[in-house]
Amino acid sequence: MQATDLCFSSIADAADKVRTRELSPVELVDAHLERIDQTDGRLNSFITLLADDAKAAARQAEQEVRAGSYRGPLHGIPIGLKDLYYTKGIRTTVGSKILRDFVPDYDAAVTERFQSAGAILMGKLQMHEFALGATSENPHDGPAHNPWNVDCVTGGSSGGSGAAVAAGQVMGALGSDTGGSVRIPAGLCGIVGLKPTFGRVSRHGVYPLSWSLDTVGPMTRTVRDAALMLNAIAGHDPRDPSSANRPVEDFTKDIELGVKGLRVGVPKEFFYDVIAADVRAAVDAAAKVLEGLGASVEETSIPVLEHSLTISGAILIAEAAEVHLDHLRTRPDDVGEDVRSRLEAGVLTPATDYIKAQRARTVFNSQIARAFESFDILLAPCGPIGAPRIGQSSVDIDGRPEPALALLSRLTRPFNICGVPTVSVPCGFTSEDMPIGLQLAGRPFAESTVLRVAHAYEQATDWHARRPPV
Amino acid sequence: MADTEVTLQSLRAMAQLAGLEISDQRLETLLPLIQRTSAATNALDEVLDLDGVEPAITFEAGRGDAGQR
Repeated sequence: MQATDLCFSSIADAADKVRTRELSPVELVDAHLERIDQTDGRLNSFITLLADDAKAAARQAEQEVRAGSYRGPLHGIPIGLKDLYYTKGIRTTVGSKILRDFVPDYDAAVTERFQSAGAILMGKLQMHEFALGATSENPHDGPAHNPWNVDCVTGGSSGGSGAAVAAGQVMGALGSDTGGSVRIPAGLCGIVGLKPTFGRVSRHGVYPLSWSLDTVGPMTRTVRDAALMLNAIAGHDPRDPSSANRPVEDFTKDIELGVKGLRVGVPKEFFYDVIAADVRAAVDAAAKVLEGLGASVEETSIPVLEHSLTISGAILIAEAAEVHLDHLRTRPDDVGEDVRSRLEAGVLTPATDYIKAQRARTVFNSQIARAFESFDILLAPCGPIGAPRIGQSSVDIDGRPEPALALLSRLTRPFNICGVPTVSVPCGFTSEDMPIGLQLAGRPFAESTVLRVAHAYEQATDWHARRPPV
Repeated sequence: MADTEVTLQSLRAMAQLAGLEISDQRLETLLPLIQRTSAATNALDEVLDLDGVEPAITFEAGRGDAGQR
């Protein structure tokens, strides 16, 4: 197998080969370092590359596997972390100038979990500054570039994670998702992005953006790989006050069960108000695929969705403003203009607006819960457009100019409000050959069902098997 | 009672209270955005009928760790 082919293997396939000693973690890591060397000048996915550490960890993994101490499917697998996960002794910039030299003295819970699983950390990945934006056009590090067209954005805020996974620089990565920051870059880069249920994965050691919305999620090239990564990181952690004390299952266990008998709802409100025709067609076709596989697919009404942006926006900017208030007081000029404006707007928003949005959230959650009494899955587009060009401020939809950046996070936010598990899975390409993502959301803590449906769809199509030209 | 409109003057006062130095020029740029979002948030009361609805974040005295959920 050629080195590049190795970089596009799934975690599941590579893990089998590592386990049976057909493949050495050293070989795997070397192939990825070579791939990073070949591509990162064009992609700019990495803020910090940890080549020497990764090689040393690969040698250790190789020795352990040889000695019969195989730890499981992530042992020897090259991964990346968005640069807001604390890594002891390794700088964690959060994509900012202000934290450029911040070196945590402890690891995030997920960093610990990956270490225990034997995964190899290749580096810290690019992101939108402070995770507050959907493009990953970073004023301090330069923009992350989309592997499908390097002139286009990756989406964000976990843009480096999206690009690195799509381009075969790592086999999986972690993003974080507050308003869509895992799913948006997953959708725009043509990979799988899973936002687990709020509280499913510990946020201990994750630089916050919005305490009541932040989640931690895997980004991979296949649905099964996302399940494998979730297996490694899910579980209760008393160090995170929002961590749910729920039993953790094997998220791969039911993945092959198919969709026969499952009920899929397609909300008619909100998701199709502003959407490119090619994206709409791809999502409609995806619904038909699920129907063909035996799911019942039915349009449904969830009127509160119309208020998603107001509710999510008021909560997110108020919480983010509090996180960064000291930065605004002491070093406002060191924050990029787009992020600074949003944070300042958050500070200047009345507290009563925040509380009102949280009250509306109660109604929102109740209507979503009611929808899940009738459906196992809600299906929606991940974004209304494919990746715009870097610096592009507006796109034409049905002959009307629309603000490109606001569109990117428009359709992902509803599922952060209610905290339900939601995956984005590739479902086609735009007329400009840029990937399109399909969102599948499930009941709280029903990640297994979400992954099962996404896997069935993935196996029935070949979108995930295509490789970007970079 | 009608909601109070956000004005440049009120933003200036809020910025000062928060300990932020924001120029009038920046405040003028932020004003339309804040007015829009505030108006939309205030309208939630009517469109969703929030009468008697508590916020999604409520205090639980029994929770020993944080009490916040």
